[in-house]
Amino acid sequence: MEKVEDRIGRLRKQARRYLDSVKDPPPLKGPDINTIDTNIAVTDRISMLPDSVLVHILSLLPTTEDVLCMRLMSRTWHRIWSSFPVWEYSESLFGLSASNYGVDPPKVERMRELFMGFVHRSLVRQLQPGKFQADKFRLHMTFSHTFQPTSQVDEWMRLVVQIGVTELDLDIDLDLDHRYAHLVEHYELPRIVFSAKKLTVLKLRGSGLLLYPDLDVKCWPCLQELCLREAYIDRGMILKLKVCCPLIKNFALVDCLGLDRVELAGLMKLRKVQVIDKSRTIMEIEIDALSLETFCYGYGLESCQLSLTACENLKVLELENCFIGQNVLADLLSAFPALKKLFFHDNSVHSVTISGQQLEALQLGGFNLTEATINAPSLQSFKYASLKTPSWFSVDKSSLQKVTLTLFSSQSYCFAELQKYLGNFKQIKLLTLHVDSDTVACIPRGTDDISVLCDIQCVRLKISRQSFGGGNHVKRQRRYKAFLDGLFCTCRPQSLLLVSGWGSNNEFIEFLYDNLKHRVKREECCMSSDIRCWLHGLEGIHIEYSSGNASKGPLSYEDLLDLLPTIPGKYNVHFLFKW
Amino acid sequence: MSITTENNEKMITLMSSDGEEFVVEEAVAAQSQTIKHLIEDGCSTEGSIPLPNVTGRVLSEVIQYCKKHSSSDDKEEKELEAWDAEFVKAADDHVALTDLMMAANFLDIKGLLDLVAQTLANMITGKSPEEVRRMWNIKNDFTPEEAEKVRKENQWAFE
Repeated sequence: MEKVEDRIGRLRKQARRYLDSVKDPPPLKGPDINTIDTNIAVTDRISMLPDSVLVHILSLLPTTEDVLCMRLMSRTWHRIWSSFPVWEYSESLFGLSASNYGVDPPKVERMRELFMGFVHRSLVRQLQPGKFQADKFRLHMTFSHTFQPTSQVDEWMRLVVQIGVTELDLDIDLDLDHRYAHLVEHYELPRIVFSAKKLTVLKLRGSGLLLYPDLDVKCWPCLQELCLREAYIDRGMILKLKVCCPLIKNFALVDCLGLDRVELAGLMKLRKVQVIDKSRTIMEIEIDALSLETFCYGYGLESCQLSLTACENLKVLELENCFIGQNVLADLLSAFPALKKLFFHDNSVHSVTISGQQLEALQLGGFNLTEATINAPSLQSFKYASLKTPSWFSVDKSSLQKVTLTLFSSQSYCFAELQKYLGNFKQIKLLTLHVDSDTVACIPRGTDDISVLCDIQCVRLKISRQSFGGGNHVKRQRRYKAFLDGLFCTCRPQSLLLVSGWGSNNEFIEFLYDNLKHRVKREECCMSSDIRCWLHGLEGIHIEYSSGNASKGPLSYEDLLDLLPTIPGKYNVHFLFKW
Repeated sequence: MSITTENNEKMITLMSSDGEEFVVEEAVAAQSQTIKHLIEDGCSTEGSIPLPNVTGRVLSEVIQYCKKHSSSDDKEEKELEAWDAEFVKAADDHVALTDLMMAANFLDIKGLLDLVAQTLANMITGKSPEEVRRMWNIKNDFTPEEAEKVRKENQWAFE
């Protein structure tokens, strides 16, 4: 027999090896004098790279914080940083946000000053000869009744246009304090921005933004993407897009105010249009674009008129949280013969019929939906999201490859119902379950009439921190057991894939592990239970881990438990079963 | 020295700093803007193209990359991405990546430059200055006064 200490030592080594193999970068090598190849190990090769290359590396860091961190490194990096064009300026970097303005006024004042100085100096520096210039500019800040630096921001816009950025992303919030809201003036986009000829991407967001109605002719000749969010927009501006930015490809209008009608015509390159109208002001949407491939509309007025004439090449249609109704949907679908993907989440319909010869992916949902008839011979993927499974269901299943069912929280997983629903799709291979309710699983007594769905090969489980609810350990354990019993009575998958954050589902994994490990010892369990015992049908188990597309490696029981608390979030664990 | 294969592909010879010679198709080598210009200027006709800044070991890796990326114009993008991921993974550590970066910069191969820069950027994302310093053996050469000054500059960002 192996001694306990030896075993622990061995496991530690295995664990370390495992972590080394899955962790990038390789283990840290300190400047240890005892290292054999001291010369190679302690040479700072990175800093010897040419400046342009180091700037390139900095430019690929995702946040300004990471960039700022690098200048603490050494003189070289500090020098590089000082020539590096920062492009993302967010007040949050200075601990400022709309919600904390009232908390500590003197500190907010100080931080604001620092922020304003930082942006200004950085922009001015980019214009000095020999300095790198950023091709993007993103600004996020909040205006309040005591702080409206309009002229300062206008000046920055002038600098940005002078630098010649191709991407401009402006996000101006208003202070959330409603007492003073009427004292805060909107920030009106200065005219100088309309002369930024090189712009290809323009994103304007924020309740504090106001847009000029009369755009100059051909003001953004290269613009491909225009995203307007939460801003106040004049209808005249939308009408002028045709002449101002004829090359526009993507257009998004999200929760804007001031518009009752959206009319898009004459835009030859228009590929994608997104209109989300949570403010519920838009009465009519009219799009005339042969090139249009994607149209998304959500959260609008019940009476909103959709008119998409001459959009016969539309491939993707997304209607989210709307009240379109069966008749309008049918009209729309008949107008789009090439439609490949449909997302339809309508809260008004009880019964829906969907036909589409080319339809490959369908996602259905709605709070009142109970009946669905789907006539789509090319359908490959089907998703259904609602409070409960529909009572009646008809679907052409010949080409279906992937089916997903999402049941929203507060509803328990009733495996008998689930099974009935799944029975509609004989050839389901992959079943994904999001567990986010606290009352899980109810398998009725006397389950002999439930047949196990043999075709399901893989079950993906998404477990969040809320899964299985609170309560004490014993309560949760009972829920785990009920869930596993229900799951394995419904299907006998060859693999169970546990995705999502480690830490949140460690307890569940340990429970599963414990049940699997000690399954032999419970010969008597079948005698006392009504449920056919799935544990006895199980012949062998194999555990693997993976990360994204990275290769899998085997994992023993002991390693799993040892590693559980230390494995980072992006790794998945597979249990492979032999029945 | 230019040879022609049976496929009528023009071949050229590259010579590394340590004297190793590599015979590759011109189309493969021409992904390097530097080599492309050398060929255009007629440097390849008199013999092999010398690359004084690149060792044989690194050059063979670079050629491997160029081969993959020249032959796979119409291949699935995803497959190429996966190949790239494996390729940088094989470079093993930052020392090897730095060599690759040096070569990509000298030879002016944009795709490879982007790939390695992204890999290096990923390595430092979310790490503390001390961790990065240890990982890349960066010597903190600030005087105590300078360090204090820089730290103060950064303080607002870490409050």
